[in-house]
Amino acid sequence: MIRLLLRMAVLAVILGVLAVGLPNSAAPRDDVLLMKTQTASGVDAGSDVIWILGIGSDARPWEPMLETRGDALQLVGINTKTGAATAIGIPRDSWVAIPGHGSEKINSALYFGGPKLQAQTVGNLIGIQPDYVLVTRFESFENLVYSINGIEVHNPRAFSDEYLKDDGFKAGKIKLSGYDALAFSRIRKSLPGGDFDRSANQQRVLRGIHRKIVQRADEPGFLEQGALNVMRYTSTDLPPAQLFRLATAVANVDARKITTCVIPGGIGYVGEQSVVFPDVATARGYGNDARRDATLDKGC
Amino acid sequence: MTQRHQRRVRTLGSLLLSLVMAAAMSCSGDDATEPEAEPSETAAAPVVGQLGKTVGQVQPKRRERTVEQVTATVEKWLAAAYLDGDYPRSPKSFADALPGFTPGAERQAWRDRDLMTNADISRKIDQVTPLNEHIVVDVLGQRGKPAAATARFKLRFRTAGDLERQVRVSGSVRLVPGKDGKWRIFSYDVVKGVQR
Repeated sequence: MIRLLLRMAVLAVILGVLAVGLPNSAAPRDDVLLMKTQTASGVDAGSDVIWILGIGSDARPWEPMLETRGDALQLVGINTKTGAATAIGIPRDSWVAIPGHGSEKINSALYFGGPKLQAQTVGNLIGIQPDYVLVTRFESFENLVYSINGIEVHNPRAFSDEYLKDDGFKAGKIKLSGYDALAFSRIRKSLPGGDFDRSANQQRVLRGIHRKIVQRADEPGFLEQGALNVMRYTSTDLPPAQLFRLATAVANVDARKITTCVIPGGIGYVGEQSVVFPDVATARGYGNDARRDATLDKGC
Repeated sequence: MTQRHQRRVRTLGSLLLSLVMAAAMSCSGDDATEPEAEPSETAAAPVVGQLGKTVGQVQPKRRERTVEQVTATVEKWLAAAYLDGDYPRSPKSFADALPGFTPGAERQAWRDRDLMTNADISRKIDQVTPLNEHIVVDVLGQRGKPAAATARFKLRFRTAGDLERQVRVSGSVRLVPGKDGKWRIFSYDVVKGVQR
């Protein structure tokens, strides 16, 4: 009996070593040959640096998406030559000049003049005019995240919200479903830095989406489906071919070369409205820093 | 039969095969997913341009034509970059070896010419013998029209001369149609390996 057990143990060890040390026997013959390989990749998305304004509209299901305010505003730059990318977060309550409408919260620009005016207003604040604008709404954003089977983010602090997420988000690496990603991006009141921290959380979600895209980009049809989903769940006048090129550019971004900042500012009141007075010099500084290479070299 | 002539014959064969395969498949609906094909490697297999996944709506005839045209574009590059030409040759002679690329992608690929062509070994070999080549095309469509495509490919060839080796080039290229209707490669992700 002991001998049998010993034999089984030895067999188990051998099988274990083989399982770890040898390739799958069903693999094609080439896979067991020693190969010296090198890789190359590149993408031409039209220009070396592309700027996209991502807008999360706060439209309720019964409201037209482009006639409400922007709830999330992120100016995203992609350098297709170097694989770098950056996101500059704009607190939605930033009090700025909106062309033709005096001074208002920056997110009202979407309501006053649609994506074009929103892009112009953000462009004036940062000094970079976006090449493209993508607008999405709550349920569409949920569907987009759902369509890639959720994401993972690094959450620096635990927080919750009695209306949006009463069981809260734990600190550390956490998985987010479509709904969770939306709640993670929207919750503001329970965060110590309010609007600024929320904008930083939106950037964590963008990183999580990017990670998922990179992980799955090689799956047949994945980027094609992604481009189709963007067409379906966002408002954009981009033709599908250009969306596909952008999706490919996103998939080629190197996660180690992503830099993000949120425009800082002070909290105050205009009349009875609680607003953010953005630090315009810093916003312009971010723009100058990242304009040519989509990298915030100087940090936040 | 010259290598170039052999390639023409193989190209014609692959296009016919694509047509037959595509004709056998029905029109896809929204998000339709066709049986997925993977570039396979069978010794001495002919060039194959095969439909992979279809995402969105594409009219069957347009999809067939897309598979043909994308396959032809990729084949043309693989031939110019790795198979055709008189060896030994100068690495600079590969300046025209990236046909079908957009200008931006061509500039990037030229910087990667050691992988994207045979520029790295061109002086040390005097012959290239193709072993097999397989191309699978995924198609994105909208409102019946093809909008973009991904070609996943595998190519194996043997070199003779000072360097006698079997080389495998595989990966994917992404394409969109230009204003002239011709498909152009705007992105590449390529692995080149030497089997010892």
